[in-house]
Amino acid sequence: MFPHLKGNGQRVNLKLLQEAACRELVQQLEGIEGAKAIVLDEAMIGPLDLVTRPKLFADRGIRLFALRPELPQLEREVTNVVYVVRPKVALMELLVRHVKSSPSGSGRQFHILFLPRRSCLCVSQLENAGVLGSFGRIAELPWNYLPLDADVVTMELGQAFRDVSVDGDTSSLYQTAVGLVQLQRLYGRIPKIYGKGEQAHRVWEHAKQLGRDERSLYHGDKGVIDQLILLDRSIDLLSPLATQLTYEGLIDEFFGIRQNKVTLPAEHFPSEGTAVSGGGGGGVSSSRGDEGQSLLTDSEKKTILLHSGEPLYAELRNKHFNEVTKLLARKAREIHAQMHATSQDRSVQEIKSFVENLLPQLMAQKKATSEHTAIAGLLHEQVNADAFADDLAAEQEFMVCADLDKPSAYIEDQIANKAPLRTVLRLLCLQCTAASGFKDKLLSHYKRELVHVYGLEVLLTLSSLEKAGLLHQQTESRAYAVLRKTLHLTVDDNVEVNPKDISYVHSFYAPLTARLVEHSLKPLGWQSLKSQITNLPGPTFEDFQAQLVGIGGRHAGPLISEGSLLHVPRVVLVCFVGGCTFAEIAALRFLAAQEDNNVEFLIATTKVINKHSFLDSLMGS
Amino acid sequence: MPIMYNTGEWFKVRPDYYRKVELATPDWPLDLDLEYMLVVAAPYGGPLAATRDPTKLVPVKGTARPMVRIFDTTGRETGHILWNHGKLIAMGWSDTEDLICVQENATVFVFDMFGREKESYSIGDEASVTKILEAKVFQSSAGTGVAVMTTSGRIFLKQNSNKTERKLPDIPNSSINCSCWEIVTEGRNSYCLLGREREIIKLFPGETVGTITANLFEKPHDKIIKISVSYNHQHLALYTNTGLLWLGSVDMRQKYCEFDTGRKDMPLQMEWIMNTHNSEADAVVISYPSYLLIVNRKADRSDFPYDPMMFLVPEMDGVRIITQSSHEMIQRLPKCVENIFAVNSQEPASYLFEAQKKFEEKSYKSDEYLSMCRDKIDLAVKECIQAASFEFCPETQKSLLRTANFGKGFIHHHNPDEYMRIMRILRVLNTLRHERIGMPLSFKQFSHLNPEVILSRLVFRKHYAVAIQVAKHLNLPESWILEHWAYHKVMNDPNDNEVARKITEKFKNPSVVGISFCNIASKAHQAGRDELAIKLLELEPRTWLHVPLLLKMRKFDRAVGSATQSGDTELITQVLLEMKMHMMLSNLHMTIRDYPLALNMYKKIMRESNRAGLYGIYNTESDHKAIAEYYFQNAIESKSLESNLSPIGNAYSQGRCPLEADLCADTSRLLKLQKVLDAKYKAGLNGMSVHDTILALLQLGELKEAERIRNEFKVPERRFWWLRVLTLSERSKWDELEKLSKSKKSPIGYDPFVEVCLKQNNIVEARKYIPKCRDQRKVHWFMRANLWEEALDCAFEQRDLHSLYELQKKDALVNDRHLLSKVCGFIAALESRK
Repeated sequence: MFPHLKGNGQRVNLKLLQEAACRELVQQLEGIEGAKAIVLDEAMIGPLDLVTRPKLFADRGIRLFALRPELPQLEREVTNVVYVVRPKVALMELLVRHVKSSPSGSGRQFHILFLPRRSCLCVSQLENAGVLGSFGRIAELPWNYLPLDADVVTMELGQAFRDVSVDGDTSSLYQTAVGLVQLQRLYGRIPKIYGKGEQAHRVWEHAKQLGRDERSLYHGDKGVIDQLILLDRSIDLLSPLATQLTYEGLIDEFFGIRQNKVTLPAEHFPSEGTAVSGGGGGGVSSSRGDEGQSLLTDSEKKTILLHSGEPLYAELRNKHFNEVTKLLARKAREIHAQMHATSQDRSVQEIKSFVENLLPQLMAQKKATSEHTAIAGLLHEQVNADAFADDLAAEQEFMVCADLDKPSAYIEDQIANKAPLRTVLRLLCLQCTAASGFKDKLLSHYKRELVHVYGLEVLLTLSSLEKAGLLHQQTESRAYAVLRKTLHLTVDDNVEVNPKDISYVHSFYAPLTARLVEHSLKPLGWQSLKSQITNLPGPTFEDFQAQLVGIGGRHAGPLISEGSLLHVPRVVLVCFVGGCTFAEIAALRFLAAQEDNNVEFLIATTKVINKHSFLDSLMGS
Repeated sequence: MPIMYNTGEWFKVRPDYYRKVELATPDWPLDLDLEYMLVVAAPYGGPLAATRDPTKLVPVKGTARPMVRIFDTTGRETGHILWNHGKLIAMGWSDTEDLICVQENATVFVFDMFGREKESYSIGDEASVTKILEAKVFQSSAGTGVAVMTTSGRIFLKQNSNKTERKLPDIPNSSINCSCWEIVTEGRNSYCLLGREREIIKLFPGETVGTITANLFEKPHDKIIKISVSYNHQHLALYTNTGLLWLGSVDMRQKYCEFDTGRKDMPLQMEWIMNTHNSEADAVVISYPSYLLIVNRKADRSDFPYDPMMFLVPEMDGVRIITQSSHEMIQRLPKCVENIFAVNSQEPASYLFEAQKKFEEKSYKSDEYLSMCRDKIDLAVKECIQAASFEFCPETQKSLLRTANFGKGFIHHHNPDEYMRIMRILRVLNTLRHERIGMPLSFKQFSHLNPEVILSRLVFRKHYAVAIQVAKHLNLPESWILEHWAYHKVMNDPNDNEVARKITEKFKNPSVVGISFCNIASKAHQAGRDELAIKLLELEPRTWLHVPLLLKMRKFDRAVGSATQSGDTELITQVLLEMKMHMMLSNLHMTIRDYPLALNMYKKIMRESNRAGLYGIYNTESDHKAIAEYYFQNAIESKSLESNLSPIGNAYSQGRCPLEADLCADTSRLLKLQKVLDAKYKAGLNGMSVHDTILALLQLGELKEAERIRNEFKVPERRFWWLRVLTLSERSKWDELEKLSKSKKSPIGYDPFVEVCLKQNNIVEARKYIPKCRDQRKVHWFMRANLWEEALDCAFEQRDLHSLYELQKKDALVNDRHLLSKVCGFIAALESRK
């Protein structure tokens, strides 16, 4: 059912997480008697897809609808409407409207499953509207981390960084802590914890407090996860702003990957594929109510599944884009050769076995190759555009710390041309971050320029960015400039094809977060790292969760076996507080692929972000 | 087999043996004379309640007011009830050891074993009006219920205060009075059996009328005067005024025997004796003044002279007899005990017992005895263990267990679990039977109640130390016992500091897990001791648990503190909502300002629900920048920026944002200017940015005005040039563009010139400016302009191999042989030069 969660023998089996989440949902649904329909908050469609399959609902005769202003048309015998929603006050208005529009004699009962927490604000909203009585079950579905791939779990909280840094709403931190406790419940106690950054520290403090009650965690041996590294997004604001140059990163930046799916104009793809590819992915959307719209989207848009369950994509996703084209060409040649090599000089028997065994496999490969060639083609167009190259060049200038203290001519030209605000702000934030802040005069200059061109309203956006720490006055320590040298964040002799270093993900810049993880893998890594990263904001911390030694102390056993386990890779959970990019994931996967490191990563993030979504979340009010 | 252990208490009611076991002798208070008392006792060695029997003549002592006194089995008074209510009809104990008292007007009072009233309820209006004659407290599958018979002869049942009462069918021919009645439980139903003259009437709920069974007796009699139902509600005993006894099944279809007691006096009580080894009953015990009679199903009898007054308490495995001077239990002799101790017993257990004794005496005979039971030694050991569990005397238990221990040495792979278990439980039982605790439980009763219930009974009797020891001994959790102890302390110790200190001291012990300080604190709150509650809460490390109680106590300050400490934003929101309901807004602001997280969450709530409220909080914080942004946001939404610019600017300057304030002032100046310009040019400039205003003016060709704006707002030269270049190219004013380029050195370089020309697809114009660009950009621009020849030359000139390679890949070159050979030539030339 979830081929991408299997991975290739990962020690942490994320199917457990998927099953646990599914079980919780089923339990809630079974608690409601009678026929039901589920109405989903738009923001929940994707996350639900990560852990359930349409069959789960079809088997129980439950239809799914998207939450719209109008109550969906329901059959008479559907007596229960279950809302699965994020705890957002704004959504409650829709619910109120639904309840009020429902005929009073229908005997219909409404229920809410809040995800991940029941919110008293929402409930009081319902109460004020006088409809609380129509709701039977108001429960919570404690889903925090959901499996995205065999080595990635996500909370799908796109606003997490903004909420914390701009609005000071730390709900996501608390939920991350709860998520970490849940992960430990499934995969056992994590003995060693390292972390950097204020919010990361807070997450850990909460997680420790919450874990105190989980006595089961402290008895018995440690779990499969050996180490936790908590990294705060605010220690590295450059990486999420930088242009990602991996295949997956580019797809995300240009087309937006949502829960392992990307939607592209269908015209670029051979038409025969549509029927086949629809089966796995568009589960929720296909069973949703409004056929009119889904018909429209089917013919013009094509949804493609992007996860490691598909071998070709698993191979391509983390490669630099320049390498991808080459790989695709080689793949095409191979398939061609295989198809043709078989057509001659074969006995009937051999051909039969070919047709039965190898051919379907080849066909699937062929389909995947053609799909990805089409995607690569689309990306090529974008990448070769002059604007992309110019932006990238400017960005890379900043990364190597060239002329950071002067107004950048490129940015000024962009402003003068009234380029899209987001583009300008991204470059501005990049410059600011690389320079570790602007001098007062420079910041004022930029602000004035922006207001002159984009109007006074831009001040509000700038204020958000300032609160988020993306724009600020210069600090004493030039953290980036120093770390660039000490941690080799930029590499001179970069290789994009068959790289030797993680810096390939941005062509020559290695994301700081990934670099920190890389260093911590070395013997005494974290200890030596500690003194180097004091100039980054927030505390550097470490912690240990030891087993509570009971009376009798019968614990000599595991010590011996641990020695024999040396060749087994250790598992490190890297937890990004505030989101991470596909490039960072790619860098970590690259590290895991190096045999010397002998390590496996499980990556946990609030959401997979990119330069666009990151800025968008901060720019909105 | 020699007689040595308590076989003197045995008596035979053919064919079975019964025994009387002496329990701890009660030490009644001197002023208690059971002879004049009405006594009811709870089963399982529970408490007993005594009140003066109003039907007996008594020498009045002290007050005449009736009083119900409650004792434990050792005669210690645990409480008393001064009866201030109406006439007390009946009393009884519930299965949770509550004393149930029924009053004449059908009101039921429930007390705990210390005489504290727990609740009271009425059994229906009808019973209350007609008054009740008699009442019975009965046990059923749904707990303890009360049955009353009204003066009009109707019977009502009520299970507990929450359920409604049920009326049983009317008695047929109710003109004749009933002589006795009893409630029987069958499955989920309880029904009533009534004795009237020579017949038994069964009143089953739901049926319209009772069924009558007559002619149960063969011998003559006038009327049935006593009915007794066995503990398991399976057997029935009837007693007539002529002293005839009838034993049979409760449905009266089966008759075990009819027995003439030959006595003419009224029996006091009649109870079935439940068997020890199963849940059957084979005999009844009947008490008369000074006389006790035991009759079994086989119509054999045994009798004893006794104290003048006695009370029988039926148990699940026997009957207890309470008298003024003794406390005994009659039970059927367990087979295993009989096997071991019976005279001339030939059973293996008996031999084993003897063998062990001889072994202790160091006698060779030990081996002889052992050889007699060798082949059945496992059975013998098992019986010894079992027999020990039935014994009340610790000495006997010990010798039986010693025997078992001796015997199990001769068994291969003996599993000692059972032996260990019995030993543990016996130790607990002996403790419970000790007069200090006074709960004489048999092993069977103990197993039936299960240890948790026993522990809670101990705790209720405030035997905390014993309860903890018992819990430890049986490997049960003990923390809740400590918690109860703490409750007790909270309720009874007036010194806050002392209580908190004692509690921490006790709970410091790390082996005690799962203590909830919050539960104790909430008890303290219930007792009206909020100060203590807060002290106790401080001991609880899991701060989120504090919040509900703190809210209940209206300690909002602390609640916010605890909630923020937990980091749980949902909890903080809850606290804030609660505070908003109960507090003045200004107080709320002042309270939460010390907790940044709470403040942030409050702002968030306000932003979503009531933006105007934000202003108040910003004001309290003197956050002028936020106030400025608040005004700003409102102005944007209401599209009234212009009129709001001055308050926004003021707030900005108060908030030490001079630049922002400046920009606001600029904007308002600009708006004024725009009005003037609009009047002149009708260009719809209102609301545009500085940049766009200049752009619009340039597009109109109004360079003068544009320059005036530029000077007014100090637009940098670079941007102004850009604007000029852009507008000139858009308007295809190529001459003017060229003039501009030559007017002075371009502050933006010449790349923009090329770029705008290319944007308008004017290669000719573009070509003019490319040579002016920086060298390294030239190739780039030639390429963009598709000027391949020039690009090649330029690249060659600059020895730019990289660009040449790139050019080589371009389609235009690949398709043009001339260019291709040229590029190849250049590349070759440059490569060779390296």
